[in-house]
Amino acid sequence: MAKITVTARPGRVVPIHSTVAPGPAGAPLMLNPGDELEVDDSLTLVQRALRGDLEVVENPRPRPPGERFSAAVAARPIASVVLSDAPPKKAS
Amino acid sequence: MTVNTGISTSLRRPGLAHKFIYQVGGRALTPLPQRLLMIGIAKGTIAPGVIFPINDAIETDGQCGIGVELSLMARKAIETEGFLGQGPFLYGCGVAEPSSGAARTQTFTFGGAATVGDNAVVRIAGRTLVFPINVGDSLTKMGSNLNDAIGAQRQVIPVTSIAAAGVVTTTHTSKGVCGNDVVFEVVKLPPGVTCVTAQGTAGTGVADLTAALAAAAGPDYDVIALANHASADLSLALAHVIPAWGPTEKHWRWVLFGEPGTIGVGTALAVAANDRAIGVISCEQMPSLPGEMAAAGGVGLLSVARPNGNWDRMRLPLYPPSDAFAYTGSEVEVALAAGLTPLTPVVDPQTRVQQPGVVLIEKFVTTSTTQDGQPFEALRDIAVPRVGAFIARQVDARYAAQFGASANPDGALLDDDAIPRVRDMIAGILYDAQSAKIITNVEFDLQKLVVEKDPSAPGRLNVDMTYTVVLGLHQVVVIHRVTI
Repeated sequence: MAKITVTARPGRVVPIHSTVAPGPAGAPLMLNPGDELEVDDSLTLVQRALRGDLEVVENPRPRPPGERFSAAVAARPIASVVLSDAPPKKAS
Repeated sequence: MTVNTGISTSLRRPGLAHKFIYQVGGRALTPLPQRLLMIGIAKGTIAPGVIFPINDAIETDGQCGIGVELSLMARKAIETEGFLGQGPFLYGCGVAEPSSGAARTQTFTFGGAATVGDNAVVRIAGRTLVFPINVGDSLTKMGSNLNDAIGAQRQVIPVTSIAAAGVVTTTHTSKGVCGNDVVFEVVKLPPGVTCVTAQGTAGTGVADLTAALAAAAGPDYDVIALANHASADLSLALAHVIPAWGPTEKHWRWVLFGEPGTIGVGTALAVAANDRAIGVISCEQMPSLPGEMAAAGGVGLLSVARPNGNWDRMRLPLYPPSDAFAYTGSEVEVALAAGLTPLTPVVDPQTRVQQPGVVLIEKFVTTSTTQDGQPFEALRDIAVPRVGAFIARQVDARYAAQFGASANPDGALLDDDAIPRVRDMIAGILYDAQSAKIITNVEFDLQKLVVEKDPSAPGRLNVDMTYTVVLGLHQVVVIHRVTI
């Protein structure tokens, strides 16, 4: 079991199952090309998605220790879910 | 209420006069015929952009061209109606193949020699081709046999073929990227024989649906099934349904796409659509063509005349994907959450073997999943917008019967009786729909019914009505307290 960082292949929007990463407000997390998400590579859902929808990001952006991007967005409304390289929003 | 005969007071001659008024008696909902329009490439006798009724597969072959996209959609729709035992009226509208671009080609290259004679099996777009290869057959003979097998199924297969020196080259029946959706498989060969299938020329060019959708804007259709499934087509579909659902246009309809790509590809469409009137039918690696998926889905949707039907587990005659690509339960879950209508194979409960030529609809949903960036559940179930459109059509029909010219010789007047008559009309429709188990809670919802004169627009009544949809039974959760 290892952690890998994945993103959506071009032209795809990949809904992520809640067991892989929780989404905001009960909706599935939608991974767009350029978004990065750290996942467990042993999960069947991840392995199946890697056949077509997801690809591994070889050099993910630096992030603070322990930050799991999906958890960081869990409480945000859908409209502001941003997982890409933009700096994280400050908590208000 | 004064009896208005419509007979002029200038009538002087003594005697009796009779006038007939025809109207729907009793309180009953108006039967609404269902219509499915299919749009795809056609190369036959029918001009592009002309909508025509589909009566027979052979006739459609002539109108659209044998093995051409729209012909195959029509065949699939007819097959699905036979499979389900019912279905809508079918219409077609052809689009021209791309003026520039290329038709996809694919080769089957034979090698080796059969040590034991046997049948070889090849699949093209899910269609199974069986042809003999005997001991001593040359490569040319093998190719010729496959070519003959393709020719024998020309009416249902989206390619033509030629054979030369053990190489069979298929060419898609039209130019365009649609040819790239065809799945080619070598399933079985006799011992000693090899057959490699490879793409030659990729299909290029995109058929433009603009004119066909424009032609469909006027007539009334319940579902429009599209052969294309690119994001540009989705934009066209959105531009079509948004005005079609307008308050005065009143062409309530659903546009269906078939997407054999991954969930991520389908979700890109669904997220862009996010509309109650657009459905994306998703099944990764399905060999059936996208247009066939949409056509079968459209027939399935309209085969249930009840607007609040339940399409869970409805079977459709489409070729299932291989087991490796059949959606898992979790994938079905995310597909539904993303606004996709997932199809999955039907598995024999005894043998666990996948049943050929049939798939099932997990649940029919719209792509409407969010509103103002927040999750929105009300329009996920396609039954909900269908009931809205159904009630609106019933109001239109009942209004025409009660307030139209035949029932009112001098025309309907906005007099003191108008408001209670409209209230009664609405209440009658809601009670009838409740009797038909389409809506519920009418007694309570009627308390919210408001009918009033518009304060500024002369001659207009405003009605605010509420009704509660009877949803399909989608889930039963059972807790077992097993005790020893």
